[in-house]
Amino acid sequence: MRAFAALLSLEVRSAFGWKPLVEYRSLGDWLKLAGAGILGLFLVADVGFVLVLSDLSQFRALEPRGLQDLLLLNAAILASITVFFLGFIMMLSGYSLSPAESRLFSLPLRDGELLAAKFAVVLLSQAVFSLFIFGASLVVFGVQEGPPAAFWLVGFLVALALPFPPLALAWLVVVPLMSLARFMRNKSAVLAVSAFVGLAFALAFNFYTQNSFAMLTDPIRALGGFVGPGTVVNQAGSTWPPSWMAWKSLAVTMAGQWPLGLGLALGLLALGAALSFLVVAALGRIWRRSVISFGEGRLRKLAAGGSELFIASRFGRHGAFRALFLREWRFMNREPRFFLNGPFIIVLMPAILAAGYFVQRGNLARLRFLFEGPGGPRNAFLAAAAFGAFLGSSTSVASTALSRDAKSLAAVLALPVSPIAFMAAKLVHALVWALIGALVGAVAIGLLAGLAPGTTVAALFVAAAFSALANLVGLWIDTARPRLAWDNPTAALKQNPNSALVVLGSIVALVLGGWLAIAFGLGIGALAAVLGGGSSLLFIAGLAIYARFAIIKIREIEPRG
Amino acid sequence: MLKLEGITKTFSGTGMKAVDSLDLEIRDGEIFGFLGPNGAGKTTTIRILTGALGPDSGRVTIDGIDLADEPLLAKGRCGSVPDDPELWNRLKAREYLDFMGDVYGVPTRQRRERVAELAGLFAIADVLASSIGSFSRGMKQKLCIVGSLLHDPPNWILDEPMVGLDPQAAFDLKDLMRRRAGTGGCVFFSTHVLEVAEKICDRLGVIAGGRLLFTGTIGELRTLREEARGRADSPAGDRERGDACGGADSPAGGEARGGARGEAGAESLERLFLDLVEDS
Repeated sequence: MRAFAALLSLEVRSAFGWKPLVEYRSLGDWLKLAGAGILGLFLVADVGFVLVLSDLSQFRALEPRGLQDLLLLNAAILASITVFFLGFIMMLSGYSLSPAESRLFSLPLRDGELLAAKFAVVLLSQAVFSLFIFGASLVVFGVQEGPPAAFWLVGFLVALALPFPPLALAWLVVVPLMSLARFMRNKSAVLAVSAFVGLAFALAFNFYTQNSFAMLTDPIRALGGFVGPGTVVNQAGSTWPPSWMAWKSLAVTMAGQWPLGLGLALGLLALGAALSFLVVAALGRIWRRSVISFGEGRLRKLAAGGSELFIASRFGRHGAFRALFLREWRFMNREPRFFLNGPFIIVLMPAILAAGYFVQRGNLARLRFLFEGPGGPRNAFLAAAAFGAFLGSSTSVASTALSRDAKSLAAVLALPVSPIAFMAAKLVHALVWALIGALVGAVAIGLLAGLAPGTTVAALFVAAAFSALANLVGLWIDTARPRLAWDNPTAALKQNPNSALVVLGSIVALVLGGWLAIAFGLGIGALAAVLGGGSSLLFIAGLAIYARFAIIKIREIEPRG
Repeated sequence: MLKLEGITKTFSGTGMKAVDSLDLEIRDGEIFGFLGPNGAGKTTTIRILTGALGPDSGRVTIDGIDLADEPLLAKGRCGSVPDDPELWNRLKAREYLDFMGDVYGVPTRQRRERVAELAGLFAIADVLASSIGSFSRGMKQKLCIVGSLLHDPPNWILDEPMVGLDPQAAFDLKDLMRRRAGTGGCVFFSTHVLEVAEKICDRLGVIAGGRLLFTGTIGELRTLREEARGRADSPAGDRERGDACGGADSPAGGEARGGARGEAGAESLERLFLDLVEDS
């Protein structure tokens, strides 16, 4: 048991990268911690606000029919689905062993213990989502209904118990899948599958929540959902009993039968623990075998005598800048952890919005008035430009350009390449994605809002110019303070404060730009000139200053590792 | 020819002096082995020499060209093999070699000839279409070696080049080093494998704690150590050593010194290296 506790502690610490407070020595360290804390609070407040608003509207829709406790059933279902899918993706993307982890197999630890430690890491990560989603509904319901004290205890136990069954199920799917599917024993394939599962989940989640709202706001559909044999409760109970148990335990507690409610909540906890134990015990050995075989290299050898022909036909001289650009392109876009957390947003965001539009097209049709009338084209132009600018500036390509290169900096800086060419290749790479993002965003909204081709081109100009400027600013920030110490590539990109700074900064700038445009009442031509022309001029001026800055900073860089 | 004069480097994050007032000259036609314990400053020195890291003070010249004044020209006269070959996993071997060829401006014909020759020598010609990520560590190391020589540089700098190589590849690499030095090239490499250094180096440098302890031939190192031992074996030296080791009569101390003295005629580089670093 002591060995398992040590293993668990090691897994958790290495997974979350927690640093003891005694290691925060300088003012900079504390400021970073405070900044991360503020950002965390902002995120919690932001998501919490959305959840509470959603729960309140559900509560108000259900209350007149006396069905308000179904809010808790919905929360239990949502929490379970979220935990299952996010846990599934985390299990897939973490289904490999680092050299350090592979040494764990030579230690006197059981396979089940090793899998249990992995299970615990996923559980800790996903329990937060469960607590957040279920907790928000619990609080909204509790505040509105004024339940007995036992309700809070039962609710807490239910929130704790909810993540166990979906995670046990997710492991039950992932381990056999990875054992059987040979093509999945490849990091890139797994991450690509994870991305598509994530995308599908995001769309399904969006569809479910929007559909729930649509149902609750339609009295006939709502009544149909709660009366008769095919009610929501019956369906939930037969499809996923833990969500029914969660709801029932709270519903009976509210009805004054708190011992029964407590018993049901404890039963749910016991069921989750038993399922988890069974899965870990049964799958430990299979998991060890499959995870060890994961990432087996498959070397593609040329046929005998084929190498001469290959060398004679495939090698050839090109320019050094092209070589640097291609290196950038291949390094980022072939690394799934970079690509999926970076340029993939250009696909993901429009897909999520399209799903939302599909479900809510009835409601959204009412917003068409914004794009009609005298100010309509201007509003549509602003929306197209803003969405294009958002996609073009949110790829994180430029704002993590040096950070991503941390491991290879020593090798690259030893090459006869000028700092300007090195950084220019990074900027051009970022600008290619910025242009693609601007194009997708501006054209999508342009088509949706029925913009004239000329106006769409003007919106694209504004979006591209703003994106170019945002990417230059991002590159500047990452040149000034690159994140060079990291072990996991995700830390260089998704968890890089430079990226968050640029994305949030761009959103603020876009909102401010839109507000100013409306406040001054400028027409489309004037807006294109001011926003697009202004961004272009700032980009050109910034480029000249940045070049000098980059030369100095690149010379000062101390490659790690 | 590679020359480092008064090189000092302190890392900004840690404040640690990694290299301290280092002077070193590696002549044309010479194989120079750079030895030192872990954390001695070998990789830092190599990074400064290749231009990947700027020194706080001092000067690096490559074939008489100041690295700080003419970095592209100076770097173009070097080929370097980094200590970590795991950097290029997302590229295919062909793409990596073409990248190196483009950066060093290697013409197509020369590039094809060099790739065929070197990839053939290191037995990786048949995997050039593969992703580097599917290579073993040794294959990655071989690829880095091939890439570093595409432009036929007069100066060759290698950081721990033997790590991960199979015996045949290690033999071929040593042979290649000798051939390059034989045709007037300059070869500078760091290693932990003292046998390799002993067999192929014309001269050695030993670094510890960022300071250069010795440069010269193995014969010169042997003489130096014998002189130092002679001084230590004098009555005053015995007293000093006895105080430091907790008594000259202690069994461990007596055995260790007796063993080293017994081999004094043909003392291994390992013994000489350990003594030198210990005394520093």
